[in-house]
Amino acid sequence: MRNDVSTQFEDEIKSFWILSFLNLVFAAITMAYGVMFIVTRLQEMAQAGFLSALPVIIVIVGFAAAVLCIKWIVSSVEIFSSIEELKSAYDAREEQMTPEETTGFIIQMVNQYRTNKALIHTMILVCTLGGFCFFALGIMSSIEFISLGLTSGTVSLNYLLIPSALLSLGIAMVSLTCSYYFRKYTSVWDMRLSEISRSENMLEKTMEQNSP
Amino acid sequence: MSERRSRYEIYWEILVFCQTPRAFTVIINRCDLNSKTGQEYIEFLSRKGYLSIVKDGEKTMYAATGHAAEYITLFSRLYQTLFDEIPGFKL
Repeated sequence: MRNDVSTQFEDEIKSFWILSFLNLVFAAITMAYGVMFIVTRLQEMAQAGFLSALPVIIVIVGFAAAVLCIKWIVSSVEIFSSIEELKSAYDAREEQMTPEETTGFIIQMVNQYRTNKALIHTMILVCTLGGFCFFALGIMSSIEFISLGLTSGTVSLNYLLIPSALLSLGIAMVSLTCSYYFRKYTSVWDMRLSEISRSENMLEKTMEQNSP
Repeated sequence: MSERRSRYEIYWEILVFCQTPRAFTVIINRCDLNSKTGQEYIEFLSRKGYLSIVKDGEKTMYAATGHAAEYITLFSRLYQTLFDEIPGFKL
């Protein structure tokens, strides 16, 4: 069956699959980048032989972001595997779907949300915090890039810091975007869950009326 | 995921599956229920007149009744409305 409901359902399942996949990929990239960033900074500090405030702050923020990444990856894998399972089952039946099967998939999608609701809320928080951590790192790297030129009194700039700053800002943007879409997803599904509660009242009344 | 289903969703699954008469063990396996809760649901639906008992020789089978068809239709309509009337999620 191909009607408006199944088309919208299909769009939605695909959109959430893409969001979960992107989130997982960026969580992995972020983790790798975060570890690399911390190791590089620690090496630089060891080579310099003294501790200055800014690199220490950067390492602390980087470490906090890496810890958040572990939580981010674990939550992403759980969400992705549940939607992947549902999408595979849906794709296998897509062409010869009966109306009852469509309803069955809607029930599975509802349950997928009920099961992962707390996790998605955690993801919104982690993505937002992670986004701000990387945004802070990007800004600090940018400041460092400019201040190096200012303190030496010359126009020379440390171009090696540009990729690092851009990468941090890029990850921050993706992370905050994921957080925005997860929030949008929960608002749609919270509305549906409250609609289901109303429907259950109606179903209960129908069952009572039809009792022999 | 099954433990997150509401009882109305489980009723729907049982009734749809029993549109063809089914044995108790087949129903609980298909609907992912343990025998205790499966028994409760099936007894409830039988009491309400949504399932009738069909004897197939020695076997006891359960079949959905006309009332069940009404419930299935209403339930499907309500759940499909979730995607019809509420603005969906799209990237």
